[in-house]
Amino acid sequence: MRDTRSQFRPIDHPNDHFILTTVVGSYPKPKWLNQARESYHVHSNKGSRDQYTEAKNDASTIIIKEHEEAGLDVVVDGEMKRNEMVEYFAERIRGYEFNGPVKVWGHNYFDKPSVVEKVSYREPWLLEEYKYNVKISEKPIKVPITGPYTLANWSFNEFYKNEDELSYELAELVNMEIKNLVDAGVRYIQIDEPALATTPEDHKVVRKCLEKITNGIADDVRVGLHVCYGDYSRIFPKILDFPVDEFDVELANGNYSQLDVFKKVPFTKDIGFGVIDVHDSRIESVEEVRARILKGLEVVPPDRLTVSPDCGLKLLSREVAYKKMVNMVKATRMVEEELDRGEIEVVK
Amino acid sequence: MNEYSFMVEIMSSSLGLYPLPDWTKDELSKLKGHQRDGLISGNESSLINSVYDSAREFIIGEQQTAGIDLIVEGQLRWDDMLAHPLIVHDSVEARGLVRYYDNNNFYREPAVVGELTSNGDVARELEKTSELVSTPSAIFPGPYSLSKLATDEYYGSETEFLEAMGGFVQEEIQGLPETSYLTLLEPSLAVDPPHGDERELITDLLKKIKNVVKTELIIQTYWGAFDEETYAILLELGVGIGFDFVTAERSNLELLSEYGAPKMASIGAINGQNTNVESPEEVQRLIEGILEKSPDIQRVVVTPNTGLFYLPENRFTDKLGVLGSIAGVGETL
Repeated sequence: MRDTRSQFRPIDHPNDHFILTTVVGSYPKPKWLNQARESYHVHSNKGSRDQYTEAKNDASTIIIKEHEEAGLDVVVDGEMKRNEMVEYFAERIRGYEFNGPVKVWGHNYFDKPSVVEKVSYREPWLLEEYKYNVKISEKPIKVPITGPYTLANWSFNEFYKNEDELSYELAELVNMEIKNLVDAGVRYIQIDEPALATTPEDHKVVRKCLEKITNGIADDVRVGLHVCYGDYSRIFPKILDFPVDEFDVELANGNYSQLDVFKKVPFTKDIGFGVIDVHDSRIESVEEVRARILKGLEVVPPDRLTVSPDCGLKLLSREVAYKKMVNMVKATRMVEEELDRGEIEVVK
Repeated sequence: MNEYSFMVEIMSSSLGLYPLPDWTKDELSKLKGHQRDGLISGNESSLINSVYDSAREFIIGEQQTAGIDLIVEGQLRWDDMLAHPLIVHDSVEARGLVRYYDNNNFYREPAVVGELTSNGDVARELEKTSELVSTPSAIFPGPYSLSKLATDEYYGSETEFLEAMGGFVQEEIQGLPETSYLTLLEPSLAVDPPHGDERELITDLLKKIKNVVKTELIIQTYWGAFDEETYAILLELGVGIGFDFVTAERSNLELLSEYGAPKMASIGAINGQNTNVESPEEVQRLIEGILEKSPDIQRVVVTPNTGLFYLPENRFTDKLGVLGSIAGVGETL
């Protein structure tokens, strides 16, 4: 298997073993960023737009620094410049229209867009975000992109014969975007497909999408696939044939009830192992996270384990999100030390 | 004019959840937060309940403006389409978020940890509705779907659990105020049909429920069609039957031509999950097509195939308008 991981090992990494730590993507937005956005929406003039742009850049800077301080090996800017994981992209793709907020669960809504004509690539989606972040960060940057299957299924489809057809067209657009990003220097892409594993056959559609997405992308570019909430038995072990390096899953929220699914056959890809419950504001202790990481080592050896929260942290308060990450990194480094000392048995 | 046309009464209504009016969304999320502990538990503050009361009044007005015949409560307090009566129950623990029915709707997993005694939450919602409109139409999740959604940690066997759920639903609906119709939502009957002993048991439970309800009962499914056995049982029971013609038009037409039609049919003719707004004419054509093939049908309730809470408010209002106008067309047939 190709090695796309070692490029992210910090030069001054303290332990022999290296378990990659990162986040899935989103992070709570500072209140002043939301205020700047509100002000821009109310006034819609140059002054408020400039202020909002400045606030977004400042927020990206702060969150990258916060991720660095927490000790993460690969950072994200917390998606400070994105309003939501489907909306943000739909606003930049021709063929979408918006009608208003729709319930997801509880009091969480999103502006679920409707596809009303053929979709096409109008402008780069994340190039500016990446160019800014790479200037700011001392750590490698990961770029999360919402996958075409989720973009299709979390939209109202008024135009295409079915969502699969829409997914394939969107996959071509994601491929164009990734080519632009890789040209700009991106080496770690994460395709977010929370809609995967929700129907028995959707893995076939996502696989075909990923083939389109990774077509013509250089070998040293690390491509991850993030999934949450799904029934993993529907997609494992089929996903081991997907053209991705890492498979990132939510597990803490379900108290690892699906862990055994991944033990049925050897897990031959890297696993991004969810160890932080993002729907619970209680901060897991270092010891608790350590125990969860050890569960990950029941599935893959340390050099194929990536430790991350279950999902984006955006629904938590910033203080809680930060403390959760700090404990996550501490626990990971603790496990690495134990591995160095030969105190933990690992799968081969 | 065909023979059926002057004999059939056509009414409009809807199934369960409406979207919260946009003006309440910010207010409620500020009062309740965005986390699991911000979801409905049944112990909300009077401030929160007063927002829901205003929203309920608003949504009833919307139905009246649109010309809907059978007004529903709108279930704006519900966090999901089905689990609510369990979630607010003292003997049920609301666990992690899970997805059922292969679509992007989340439920807190209801774990039953004690006896499912009568609770009365839905009755209280309907009583408030009855203060605003005489004899509203009631919607309640059916025992089969509830038992499939929930986890049993008390009763011990599937049979006892399903029986207990049947008893719970029966007691709950006996406590409801007077309503024009009672629709039991049973998507699991289509998605995951019962077999063998389970089928016999659910037949018994539905029979018991039919015997205690004072009003006309409709067993409604969506996300597919009933299987042949279940459909035959429902016909035999003589209840109203609710079909999802958006996702399963062909299967439903086959059932109607193969096994015959109920006297009372609820037709899910408007897509509750897509912003594309149907024209009154296309819905009318669908209804006429069904009635031509099924002369036994005497009354029709036209509804969306699911709750409308999936929709943004503008399209929800548009779809209510279409429903309201359909009933008008029907009355002139």
